[in-house]
Amino acid sequence: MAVKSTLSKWATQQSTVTDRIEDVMTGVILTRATMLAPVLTGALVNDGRVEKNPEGGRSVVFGSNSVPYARRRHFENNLHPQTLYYLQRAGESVAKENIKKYVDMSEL
Amino acid sequence: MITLSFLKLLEDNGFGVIDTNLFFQKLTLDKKGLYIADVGDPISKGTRKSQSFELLARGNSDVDGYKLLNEVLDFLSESYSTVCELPAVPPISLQTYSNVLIRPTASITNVGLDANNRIIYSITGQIIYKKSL
Repeated sequence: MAVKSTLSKWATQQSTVTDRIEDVMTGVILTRATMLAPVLTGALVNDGRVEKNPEGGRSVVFGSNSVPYARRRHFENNLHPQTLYYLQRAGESVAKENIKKYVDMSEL
Repeated sequence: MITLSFLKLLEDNGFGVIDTNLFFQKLTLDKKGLYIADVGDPISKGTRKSQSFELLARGNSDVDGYKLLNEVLDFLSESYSTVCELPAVPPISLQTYSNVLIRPTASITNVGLDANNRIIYSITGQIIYKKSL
């Protein structure tokens, strides 16, 4: 007679769900930041992307060799000051929402 | 492409015209209207799939986008809270979807001001569906 533990299976399932939640949350942050970012040539708003971090998790990133001014535009914009902190504001709009919303969106 | 079919459904029900004021994934356009974007990868379970989406609105005034999203929410709760079908989008896609459930997951969110001082509003949701052959 033996009792079999299914804890490791449960842990794997939870890890998959967490990964999906993170996928959805970063996706929403990216769409919102794209809508809030300043538009002049379109290079900045087209540069947003989600990257997987080597140490785990995901990051929403703006800026690359072709758009080196992305960081500066986040903190400085005299022409459209209302677009300052576009990425931070997008992240905060997601953070202030109920996490349950993202859990629901990640389940079938 | 399920979200494009959803956008076509909105077009068929008088919410606008695709590429004029209904936009599929074109978030970078600085125009007024509704924008839809896929959020995350689709999830599969058996023969059913699920795709999360975000619907964003940019209006003429501060309340315009809010009203538009409210109308979409009313439309979805009245007509599509039960199982339905989504249309093809010829000539781009002839794919139709059956056994579709469109489920908004939250109320309207104020995302913030864009470069032209217009408030962006958003709703998120999930489309659960089965591809028709």
